[in-house]
Amino acid sequence: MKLRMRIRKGREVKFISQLDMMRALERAMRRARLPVKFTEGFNPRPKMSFTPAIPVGITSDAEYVDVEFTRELALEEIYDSLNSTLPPGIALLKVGDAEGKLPLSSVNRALYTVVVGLGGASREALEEAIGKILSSTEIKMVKKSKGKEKEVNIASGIYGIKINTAENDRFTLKMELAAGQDASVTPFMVVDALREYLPSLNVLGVNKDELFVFDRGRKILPL
Amino acid sequence: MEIENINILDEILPKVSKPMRYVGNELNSVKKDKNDIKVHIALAFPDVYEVGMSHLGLRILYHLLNEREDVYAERVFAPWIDMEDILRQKKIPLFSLESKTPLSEFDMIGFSLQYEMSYSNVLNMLELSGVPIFSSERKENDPIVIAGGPCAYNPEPLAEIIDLFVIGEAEESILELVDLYIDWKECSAKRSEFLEGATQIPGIYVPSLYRVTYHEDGTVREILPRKEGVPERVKKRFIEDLDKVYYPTKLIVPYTDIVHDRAVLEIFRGCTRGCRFCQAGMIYRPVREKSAEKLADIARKMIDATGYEEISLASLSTSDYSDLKRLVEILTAEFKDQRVGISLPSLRIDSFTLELARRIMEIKKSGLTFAPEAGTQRLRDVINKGVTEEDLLNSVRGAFEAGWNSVKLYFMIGLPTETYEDLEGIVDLAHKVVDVYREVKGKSKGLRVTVSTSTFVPKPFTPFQWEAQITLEEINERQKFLKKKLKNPHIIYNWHDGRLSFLEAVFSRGDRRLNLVLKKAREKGCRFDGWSDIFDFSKWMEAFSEAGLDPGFYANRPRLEGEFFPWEVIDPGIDRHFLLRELKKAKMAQPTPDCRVSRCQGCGIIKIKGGIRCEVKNED
Repeated sequence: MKLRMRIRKGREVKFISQLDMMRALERAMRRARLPVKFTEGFNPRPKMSFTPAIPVGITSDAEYVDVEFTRELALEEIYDSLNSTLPPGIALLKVGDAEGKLPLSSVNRALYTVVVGLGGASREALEEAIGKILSSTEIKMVKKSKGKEKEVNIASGIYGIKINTAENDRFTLKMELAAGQDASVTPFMVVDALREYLPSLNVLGVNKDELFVFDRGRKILPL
Repeated sequence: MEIENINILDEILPKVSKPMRYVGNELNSVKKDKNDIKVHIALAFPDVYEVGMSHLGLRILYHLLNEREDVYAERVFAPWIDMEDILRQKKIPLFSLESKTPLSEFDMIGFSLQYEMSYSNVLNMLELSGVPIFSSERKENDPIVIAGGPCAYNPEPLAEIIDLFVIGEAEESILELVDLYIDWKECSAKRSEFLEGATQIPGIYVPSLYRVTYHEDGTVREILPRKEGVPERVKKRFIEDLDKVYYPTKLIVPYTDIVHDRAVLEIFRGCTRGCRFCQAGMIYRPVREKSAEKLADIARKMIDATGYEEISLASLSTSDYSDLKRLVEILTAEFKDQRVGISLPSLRIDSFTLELARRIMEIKKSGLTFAPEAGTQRLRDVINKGVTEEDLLNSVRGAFEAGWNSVKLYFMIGLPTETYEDLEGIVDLAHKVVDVYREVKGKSKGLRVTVSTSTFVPKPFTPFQWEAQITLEEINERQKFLKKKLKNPHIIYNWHDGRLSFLEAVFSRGDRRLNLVLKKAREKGCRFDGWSDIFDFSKWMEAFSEAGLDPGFYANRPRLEGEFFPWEVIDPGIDRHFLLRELKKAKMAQPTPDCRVSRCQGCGIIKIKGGIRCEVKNED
């Protein structure tokens, strides 16, 4: 059976890579003695697929993974046993059947909470910077991937930026951004773009709250 | 302080490489309330997290100490240079991984000494902790600085820095030391009284209680206790029955990749092969095996607690375990369904082990390693490496037939009596391996033979402890020779930096005067000397000249038979007469057989503790 899991990447593990996350999950499943299905061949790997990797340094409540098992299992059994074997910082939030659901490769948007410090600037200045970003049709960023640098326009991948709460110099923003195989904009890129107008801005923390498929005005969660 | 540090950490970590080195909180790491314990120990490893966490000894001691409710053992590793810069800039003292407590607040700091070239990191870690470098400068409230590990068998180069050394296997002595500490703390007595008390525990060496005198030529005359009741020589400790000794199963599972990230199953200690250059083969005697049943039980518990996908058998020479075939069968059957692989490092490749390796290891994933150590039969007889060219080529043939196409060959250069003929032997052997591949496959495409040479470093308590290391110029000449001769599209030649081998040779047989050199080198900024991009040889040479010492005196001087050695304040249980006998046989290229398959060779270990069970066929 193929199951879909929603996983939290907490504060303790925000610096680990996706490969490390996968290994941690694999080991937790072995500790829980769950009957994971493996690939064939000389170097058998568990049959698992993850949603696209997020940059290191951010926490997340929306990491999804599909895992195949060799036999039917009760969902509660998996939920309980994995939550007791996962290492500190990693938790299973929800588990369900993956059959009949949208493939994980189809996700295209994410919602982030981004805590920033204004570095002495005013709320008005922040609002103005956000307004400028949202109305731009071209925001050029240099993106590094596999050692190569290329210039991308991130404007079309920014769907919304809102000020959620404010406490003195510290503001909590909500950002809805492209997050899929075709296009992906990280909160760090958006903050870099905001810095063009507000150089004193700095990031204090980022959390990925939701990951979903946005299709013709509808928001569909993977699970 | 802790809370403060954690907040600072949030700010620092995004700025350093590999931040997980400093986070801690891994699965099975231990959390305790500092108010509920009596002794707080920092286990310090003078290298980065990935290296230190791969070390079995550290893991054993960590879990062993934490089994006790009254002890809290935490880990600390050498911060990488980017982290060190930030710590210095922000004036943050070096702190432990678990509770983020500054090292200076611990009762004891215990260093693991695995490699001479990590000594500068020991000094740097003390410096970053604000703990005085020299033992004599520490105040009553400073932590007791202890050290153990193979390099502690010659404690003298660190004798003015380390308060006490734990010699040999520490599972028992460390607990005795903790008990003594608790008693002492309760009487609120003086630091010096604790150190004196510690000398009564077998296996503990307190260098400040020994006086060193020198001859006019600079050699050591003697090392004698300053006080009555302090033992003249410190006997190493060892565990008699490995089936009964504590072994951790709830191992820490790091979040990120470390050098050896797997469940390590120690199958035996000691080795009786008797290679004459090998210190481990001498100081870890006698051979003691764990039973296959005990090992299967440990392995099961380890996998249940860690979820590791690989079990690695650990020992000095895996194929010498007397029940290897059955052990591997038990383990493969037990873990087949859970897809846990078994790996066999330090394997002597012959037809039997090759079959074993083929059954359990992933072919082509990694190359096979062979260690002939020397290029000619004559020189292999000198060093007592019982491998013939025929053995080697047969094994290589077997490996190629089984599907491997990459082999590594390890050699040492500068071994006693070595000539250019022996170096030619290395070249010939490498080419013969290429020929064997051609014979097996009909072509040489796809083949990779990696030849690695390190320079021989004479080690204390080996038959070659009297021998000189070849000079740095000579090391470079011999490497140049090999570089020129090993030009073949299928052969890759790697060599170890001769300057590092030279310094290793200085410190491995050094005396107490080298403490000053370490201090000066540290003041010049030396640390992470084992890392080639950081190592700065010229600073070391300046340190020697400022200290008024000639490094060649330690590295390149042949010793007289009767010379007293600074490390002889330690008694590893191996007779000096045996070592000397072996040296003489070496000079005549006479091999000595393994006492487990022939007869007792009189190394002396049988006499330790009034006669123990030695696994020899015919006890003399």
